[in-house]
Amino acid sequence: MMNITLKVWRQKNCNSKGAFESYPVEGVSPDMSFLEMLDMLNERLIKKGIEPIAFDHDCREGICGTCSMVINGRPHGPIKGVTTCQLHMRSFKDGDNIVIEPYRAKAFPIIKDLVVDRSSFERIMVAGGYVSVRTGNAQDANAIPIGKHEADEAFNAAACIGCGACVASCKNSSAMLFVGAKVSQYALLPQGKPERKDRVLNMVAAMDAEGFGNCSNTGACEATCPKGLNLTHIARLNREYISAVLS
Amino acid sequence: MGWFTKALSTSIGKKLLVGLTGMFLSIFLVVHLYINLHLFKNDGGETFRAMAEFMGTTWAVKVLEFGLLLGFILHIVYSILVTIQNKAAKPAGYGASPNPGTSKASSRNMIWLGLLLGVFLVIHLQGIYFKAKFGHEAHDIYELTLSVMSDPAWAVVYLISMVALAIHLKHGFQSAFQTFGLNVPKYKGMIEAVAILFWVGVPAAFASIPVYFAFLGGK
Repeated sequence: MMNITLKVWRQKNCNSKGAFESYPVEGVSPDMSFLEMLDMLNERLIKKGIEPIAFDHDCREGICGTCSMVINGRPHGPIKGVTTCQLHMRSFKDGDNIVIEPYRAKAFPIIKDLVVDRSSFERIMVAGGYVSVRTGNAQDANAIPIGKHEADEAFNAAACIGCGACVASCKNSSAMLFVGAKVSQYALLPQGKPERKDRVLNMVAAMDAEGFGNCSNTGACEATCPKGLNLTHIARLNREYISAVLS
Repeated sequence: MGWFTKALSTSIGKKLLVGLTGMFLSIFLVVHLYINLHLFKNDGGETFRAMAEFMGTTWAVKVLEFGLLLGFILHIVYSILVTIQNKAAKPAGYGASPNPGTSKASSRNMIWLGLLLGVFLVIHLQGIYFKAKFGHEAHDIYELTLSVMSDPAWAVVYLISMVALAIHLKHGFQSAFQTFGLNVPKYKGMIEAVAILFWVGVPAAFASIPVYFAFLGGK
C-alpha cells in the first residue's frame, strides 16, 4: 500500500476564486486506477463532512473522452497514450506529491473543482463535424472503393475521443489537433469529400469564435494526446483550409 | 477581395501570413548573406561596393525594399496579434510543470526571440544602413561595414543576435512548412534536413564575419 499527498484545485463554481488544497491519502493500492483513488478519497471526505472533489468520468475504459484533469502538469497524467481513467497508481511512488488541476482554457470554463465545460467542442462539431446522409437504404460497404492508406489514416484521425487534452496542454489553448482530426477523418474518405470545403471553413470559424488560440507548432498536443494523434492532422487541416479558401 | 481578407483574419489565415512573410524574410537573409560574404574577398572591397551600388540604384531592388519593409511590418504585427490572442485563450497557467516537458523552448519563445531580433534590426539599420544611405557625411559602404564588423563591442552584439536568429529560425523555418500544410511524411525528412542547414548555416555564416574581422585579426 502507498501513502501519497494530493494537491487538488478546489473551486466552488465558475464565479468563485479557486485554490489548491492538500489531502493526504493513505492506504492506496498500486492496482487502483487514478479515478478509483479519487473515489476512495471522496468517500473519506464525505464521511468527514467535507464536500467531495468534483471530477468528470464516464466509461472508465479510455474511449469516451469524459475524464480530464491535469496531473503533475500533464493532461491525463504521466503515462503516454493513456487517459486518466486508465492511469494506475502503480505509475506513482509511495510518498509522492501529486498536483491535480482542471484543464485551463478560456474556451473550457471551470464548472467546479476539476470539471470544465467542454461544450465548445460540441459546437465545433455541429458546425461541420458530420456527413449529410440522405434517406434511403444503406448501400453495400464494398460499393465505394477506399485505399488502405486512406482508410488507416481516417481511422487514426477518428481515434480522437474529444477529451480536450490537446487544448489543455497547448500554451495557446489551441484546438487545432481536435479540429484537424475531425476534418481529417471525413476529408480522407469518399463520403466526406462532397462537404469538405464548407466543413473546414465552418469548423475553423466555430473554433475561432469559441476563443481557442492559434497553433504555434510546439507539439505539446501530440505529446499528450491519449490516442497518439500527431501533427500531420494539423498539417492536413491547414491544407484543407488553404484549398477551401483558394478553390 | 472580401474572401481574401476574411481568410487572413482567421486563426489559420493569420498563421499563414506570419509563415509566408517569414519565408520571404528568410529568402532576404540568404541574399544579404551572399553579399556580406564578399567582405572576405581580397579585392579591396570592389565587389562588395559594386553589389551595394546595384542594391542601392536598381529600381527593381528598390521595389523589393518596400516589399521587405512591408514583410517585416506584417510579420511583426501579425505575430504580436497572434500572441495577444494566444495569451487571452490561456487565462491561467498550471501549478505544476510537466516533467519531462512536452515542447521545445524555441517553439514557446518565438515572440521574445523575434522582439530581440527587432531591437537588433533597429541597431543594425542605424549603425550601417541609415548612415550609408541618409547620413550627413559621405560613407564608403565597404569601409563603414568593415569598421563596424571589426569593433569587438559590435561583434558581441552581432553574435548574440545571430544566436537569437538561429533559435528563431530553428522553430520558425520548419514550422512555416507545417502551417502551409506541407509537413507530411513524404516531405518531412527533406524539410528537416533543409531546416537544419538553414538555421545552423545562415546565422553561423553571418557570425563568421564579425568573428573574423573583430577577433581573428582579419583585414
